[in-house]
Amino acid sequence: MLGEPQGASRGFLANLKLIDNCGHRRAATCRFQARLFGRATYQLQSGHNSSSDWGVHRVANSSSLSGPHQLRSSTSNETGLVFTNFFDSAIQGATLAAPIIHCRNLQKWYAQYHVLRDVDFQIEPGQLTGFLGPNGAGKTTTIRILLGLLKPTSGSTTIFGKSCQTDGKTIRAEIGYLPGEIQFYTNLTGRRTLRYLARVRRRDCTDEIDRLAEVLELDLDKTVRKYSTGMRQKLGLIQALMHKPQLLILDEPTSALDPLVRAIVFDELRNVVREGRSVLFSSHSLSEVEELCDEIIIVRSGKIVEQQQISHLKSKALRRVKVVFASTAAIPASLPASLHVRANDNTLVGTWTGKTADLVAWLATQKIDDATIEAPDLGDLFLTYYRDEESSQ
Amino acid sequence: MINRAIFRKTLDDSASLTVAAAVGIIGFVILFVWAMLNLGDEVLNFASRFAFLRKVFEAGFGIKVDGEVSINILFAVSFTHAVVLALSWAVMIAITTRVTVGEIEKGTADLLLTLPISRSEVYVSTSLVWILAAILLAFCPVIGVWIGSLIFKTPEVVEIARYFKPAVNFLCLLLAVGGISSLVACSLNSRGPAIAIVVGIVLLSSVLNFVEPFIESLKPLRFFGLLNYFRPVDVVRANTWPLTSMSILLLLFLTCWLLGLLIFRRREIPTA
Repeated sequence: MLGEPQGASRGFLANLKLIDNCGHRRAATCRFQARLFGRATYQLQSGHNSSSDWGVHRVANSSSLSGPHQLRSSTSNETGLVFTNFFDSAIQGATLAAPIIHCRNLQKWYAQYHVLRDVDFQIEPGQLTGFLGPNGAGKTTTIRILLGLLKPTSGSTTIFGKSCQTDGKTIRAEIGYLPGEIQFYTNLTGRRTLRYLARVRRRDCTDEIDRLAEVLELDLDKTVRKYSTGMRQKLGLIQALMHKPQLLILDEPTSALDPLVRAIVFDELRNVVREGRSVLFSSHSLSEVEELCDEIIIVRSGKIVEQQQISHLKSKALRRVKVVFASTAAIPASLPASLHVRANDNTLVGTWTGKTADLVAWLATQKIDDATIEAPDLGDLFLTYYRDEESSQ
Repeated sequence: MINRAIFRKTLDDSASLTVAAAVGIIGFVILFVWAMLNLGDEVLNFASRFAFLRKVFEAGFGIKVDGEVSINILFAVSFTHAVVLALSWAVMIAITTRVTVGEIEKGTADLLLTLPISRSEVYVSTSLVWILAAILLAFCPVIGVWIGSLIFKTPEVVEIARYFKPAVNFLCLLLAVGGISSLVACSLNSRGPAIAIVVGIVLLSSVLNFVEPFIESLKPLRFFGLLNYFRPVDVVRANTWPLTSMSILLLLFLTCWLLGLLIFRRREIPTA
């Protein structure tokens, strides 16, 4: 147990987003009744023996906190987080929050085409999740099932813990959706379109509409017929964001946007997550997902092939390595199995597929003049999933 | 159950078409009144000379040309005139297919149906609009006859009250057409084929009722014709409510409308 935290605050409800050092996501809702941990690193203790590090991704509804907050846990509980006696009983209790999206064994057949095969994933609240896959992988079908536009052949989907098939209306009140190829009523102006959609939602979104239109520099008084594709995409983004939904589902949202506007949109999405809301961001652009998202779900041929924190995924990705030895004779006869290289005089150039720490440790034992380890590229990893598929076929 | 915004938008989108059709029907009926006042006797005399034409008048309009035909009965023919039927049916089909299959085809259904409203709300809100349009259009022939009788000098008193019964019967017919159209619109993904199917159904049904008096083998099928349940001349002549015909048309409307609702609630919405 550590001492008194700095920057203490009193009484508020917070959502904690916790990631353990294995890349598994944990979420907890904690009621802080007395004190709040500040920017410093603290130790968290509960009654279990296993050891795990936890990082706090987000603390919502807090005006006194900013930036990342770290919690170091010496123990964790397998089934949930029930924190007690934390900083002089600062946290009275915490329970695991339900996943915001949960797909279980989702199957979808279109006639003889098996479009989704046992799609199974869950997304925790307060996260920006990239839904990545090539065209035709099943991203849009999954999203349309989540929104109740399509019905799964089997399996179930829940959002906010409610069934997408039976509680669609309630769920959709807290969802903002941007379809892949968005279409509008072309005879209306942008403003009238948004006003209409807000009225159907029975919400007054005027202030947010004006703010977003200003941020995205969209003239809302033109008829949609006169809008370019990029302007329509902006209008689509505004309609998805205007009611401040708890969950944003964006199907290829930046496809028609120029880089400047895309950066603005990314900032908006980061703000959304900072406010404790969640984003599911479908894309076939790896660089976008890598730049924006906390977590990635990779779908291939209707199957989820990977769901991981991007940081954890990157740790698995291969690194490009260049090692310059002191002399040709200094190159060892046997190299580590994770190192795949070709030699050129006293230089080895190749890739490393293991932990970076192991590579550094090995390099430390060698007589080298120079070594370069390039940052992992998710693209390389992404391609390996597809190479695996091709080789298995 | 009704979403005001959807109702309002559907109303706005449909208003110009409905008003244009209403004005067209009223204008046509006024012309029809003028034509009947000036040419009615000649037409009836001419028709009475030919057995085929006599049968056409009897089958098509329910008029026995060699009997006594009052001006009220002649004016009632306007309800079943092809122009009036075509205009009113066109409006029904256009509105009923606009929101369901029309939005699916355009891709705007992705926006509309991912809002926090149930599909039943969408269906009911839009249905209300075409039902209101049907009410307006059903009474347009009455308005036309009334205005025509005010403008042109008639040899006998035009009893406008008599036309309310065929107008309500006409409303039931329009509701039945709207119900069929809704059902078809909820079942398809493209508006064009939906319109073609509904037009095909109502045309076939009309042709059936028109030709069955001439073809003995078709007589048992006449019950399938919508116009079998809409005989304004008979209604004006008898001045009684055609309760059986109205009930059958209303039953058809309710059945098709409810089936459409069930299908729309359960169906998948494909990408445009």
